Amino acid sequence: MKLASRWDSGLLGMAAVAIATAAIFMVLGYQGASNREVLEMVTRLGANLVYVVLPDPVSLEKLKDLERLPEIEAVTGQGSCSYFYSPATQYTMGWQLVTPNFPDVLGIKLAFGTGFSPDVPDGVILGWEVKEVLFGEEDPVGQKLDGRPIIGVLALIHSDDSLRERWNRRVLHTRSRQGRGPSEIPSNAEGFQFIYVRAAASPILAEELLAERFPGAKLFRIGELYAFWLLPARILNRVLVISALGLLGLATLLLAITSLVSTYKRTRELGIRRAAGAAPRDILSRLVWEGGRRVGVSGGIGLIAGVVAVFLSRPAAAFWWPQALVLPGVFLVVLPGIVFPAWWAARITPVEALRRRTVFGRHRTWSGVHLLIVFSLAVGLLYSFLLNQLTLGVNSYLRLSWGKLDERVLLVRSPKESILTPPMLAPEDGELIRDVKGVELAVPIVSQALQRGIVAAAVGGGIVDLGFLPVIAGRLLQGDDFTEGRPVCLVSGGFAQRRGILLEEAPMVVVRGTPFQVVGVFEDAYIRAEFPVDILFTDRFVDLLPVGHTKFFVRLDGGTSLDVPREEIVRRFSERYPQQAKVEVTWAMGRQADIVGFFRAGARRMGLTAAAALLLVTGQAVGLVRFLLARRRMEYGIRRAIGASPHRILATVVMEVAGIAGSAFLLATVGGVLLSPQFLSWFFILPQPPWWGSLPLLAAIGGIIIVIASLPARTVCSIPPAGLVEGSRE
Amino acid sequence: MIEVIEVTKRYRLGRMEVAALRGVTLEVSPGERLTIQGPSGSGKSTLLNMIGLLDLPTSGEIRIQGKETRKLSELERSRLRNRLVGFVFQRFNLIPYLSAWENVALPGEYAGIRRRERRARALKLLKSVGLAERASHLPAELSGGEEQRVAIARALFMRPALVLADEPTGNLDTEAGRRVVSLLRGINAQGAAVVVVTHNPEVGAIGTRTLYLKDGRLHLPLE
Repeated sequence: MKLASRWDSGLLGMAAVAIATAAIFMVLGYQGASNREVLEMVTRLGANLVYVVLPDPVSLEKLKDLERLPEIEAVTGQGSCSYFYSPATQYTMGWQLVTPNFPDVLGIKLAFGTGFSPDVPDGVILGWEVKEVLFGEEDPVGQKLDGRPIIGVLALIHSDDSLRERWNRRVLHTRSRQGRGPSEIPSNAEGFQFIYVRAAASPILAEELLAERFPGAKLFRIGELYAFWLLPARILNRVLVISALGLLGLATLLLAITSLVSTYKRTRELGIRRAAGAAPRDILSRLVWEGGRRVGVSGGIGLIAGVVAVFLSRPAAAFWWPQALVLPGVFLVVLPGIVFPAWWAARITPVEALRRRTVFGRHRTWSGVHLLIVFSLAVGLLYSFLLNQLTLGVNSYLRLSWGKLDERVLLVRSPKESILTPPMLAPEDGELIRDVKGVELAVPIVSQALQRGIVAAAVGGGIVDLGFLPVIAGRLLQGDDFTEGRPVCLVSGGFAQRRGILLEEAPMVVVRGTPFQVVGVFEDAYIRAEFPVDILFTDRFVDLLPVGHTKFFVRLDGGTSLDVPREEIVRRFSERYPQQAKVEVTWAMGRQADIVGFFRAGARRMGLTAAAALLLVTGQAVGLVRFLLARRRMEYGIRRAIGASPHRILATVVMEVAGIAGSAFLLATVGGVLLSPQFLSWFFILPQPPWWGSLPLLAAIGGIIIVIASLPARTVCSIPPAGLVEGSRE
Repeated sequence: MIEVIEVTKRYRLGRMEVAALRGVTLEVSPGERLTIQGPSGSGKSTLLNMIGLLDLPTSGEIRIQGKETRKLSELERSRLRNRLVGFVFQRFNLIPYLSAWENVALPGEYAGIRRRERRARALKLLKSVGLAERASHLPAELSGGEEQRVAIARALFMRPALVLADEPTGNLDTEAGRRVVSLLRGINAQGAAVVVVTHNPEVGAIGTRTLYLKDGRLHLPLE
């Protein structure tokens, strides 16, 4: 079937309605599934549970006092958590201090053994995953872990349970242990800062009481907590719902335009009907019926496609009651797209229609159709703009997190904690790394906490080549700083802000009596979790940090498999330090990649809807051109008859489309500049990428749309002018 | 000036092939007034379109000022049409959103004439056809006779050597038709060759030579 006949039968409009219906069905389903997840989890735990972050840790006795109050049924608390890494199993687990009733209050059942009891004061309860890793199928109750008796194992908590699933990887204990690892903070012995309170009746009363007893405490209902964990997914769903509704709007416009083209071509037929006695209302009802039938069929197809897609992608997302309203809703929204062209056609007088002199534009100025197309094109471009800003924002987030680090960089450090004895990693251990085949660069960083929680670090010269640390003011440490041993340093943005450091004032920072001139400030908003450093100087001053922790950033040359040198480093350390957990080797980007992975996946899903939207707006632009060509066929013929070349006619059409695309481009840019800060903040992307970064993409899309939309004009150019001028073929 | 040599034109209508012109040969001399008559469907308009380079013959040759038009590119044909030929259609074919003077000046746009000159020349032409005061009106605001006079003014804009008129009075009342015929005579008097297609004997009478077309074949001039 030729494109022309597809247009005439309104197939493209129908396809657009089907796509939009399927999209709405799917995203509504996803939204419903997310809501249900929260509801199910809250129901599982009980809606009367309140999570409280206290300003200071409190003792077990104080928590027990709370339980005596009539408003409160039960209270449990969690204290400090130490992480243990086992190189043997490559597994990290957390040792979590809790109150004895912790599993009961949080509704976590035991798979083996018993709960905490005063008879075994130093007993531990393993999470299911810890048990699986360390003991496999075996029942570990009665055995010992780090010298403590294992008294029970928690039943497996489903991974969807975002709040509690972490307990799968924890070892619960009720008596504090002395830290042995290099990074363990001296434990706040008996303190419980994070508590769960089960209200006896209304959680409101319990919350009021807690707020009164613990001024400054932060209180969260359990539902809010679950909702918080699912917030990014819910935001994504919300954006997808808005996108799907936008798609439906665009589909309505496309339907209206295809109907207009179709109606225009049937002008004479309508005139004959009017002459034969049809009233305007007969014309109106006939065209509305025809359009409604098309929407019914396409909506039905879209609905079936949506159901199939949901079952294939996420069965739980099917059958949410609002999905039943999709088809009637679609009907309601697209109704103007059917009624408007029909109403327009019904206005034609029989004489005009028979002469084929229609109400379709006797003016050179833009019609309402032009404006609608500009608007919908602007919506499509705006969506692309926002998505591109999101992608740029995520990339910028990565850059700010890790500078120029890429997937070839390893982070080699002492385990945060280990069930084996973990000797400290030292700068000299770099010998074991540097000559490993495939290692390009190994940069030691020695860091040590100074007074008042300030952390200073000495770094090797390779930091310059590594491109690590995005410097936001001043400069990075340079080669001369290392070779000449200059007393210069960088400070983190947060430190500079707290201290009011301004580079133009040549500020100095004193570390253990040695003054350093601050030459640069690095961005630390996102990297503190992995690189908690305030002051950074060259390793010529490493002696100032005698008990510093050493870690290495290792860049691989990428020539071979990246896993080979990684495994070789682990092997060498195991050989040199048998029976010791000396190193933990991870991909420097791994953690960040996990964080941005979600956004990237979201951007991909939104990208699909953007592509669909752009497809529809391109369809609209093509529809507009076909409409113009149909309306102006004779005009073009006249122009050809008086000497216009086909190229001039083509140029006329292209210029008109370019005018539309240009207007939409401007609208989308203005809208994008105004809306992108809010849009990006929904996804927690704080560094706003510059708005002009998306202009090339917008221009490219606009250009493609102009080219595609102008293609139908070639047909007119290829017809001899005699064929275009009315009544010329006698 | 124009030589039409053994021109045939066939159209395909579904599975059928229809011959609109069958081996037509004629010559139009400079300054000549030629009328072509014939019943509806005889191929008059098709012949006029061929002469005016609006369409290409299926076979045969059309020469304008000695040039073989078949070998010309689309662009060259467009330019030739713009410079040498002026069209007057039965249904006027004015562009509805352009004013009278803009319609008249349209050929100048494709000849690269500056707007100011186009306007001056168009106003002069409108004055010559008695429509000076209607220059800014849209076609919808003009009567049929006035529209046709605008169309004639447009046909004269490039001072063409040949004016082709296809049933120029077909949509007009008697009085307006007479005025159009008078204008066509005037054009011819200024030196342009005029070819008029009509089945109206009154209009056909303006020709210094008349050809009769039937079933796509040219017959001897009517006596």
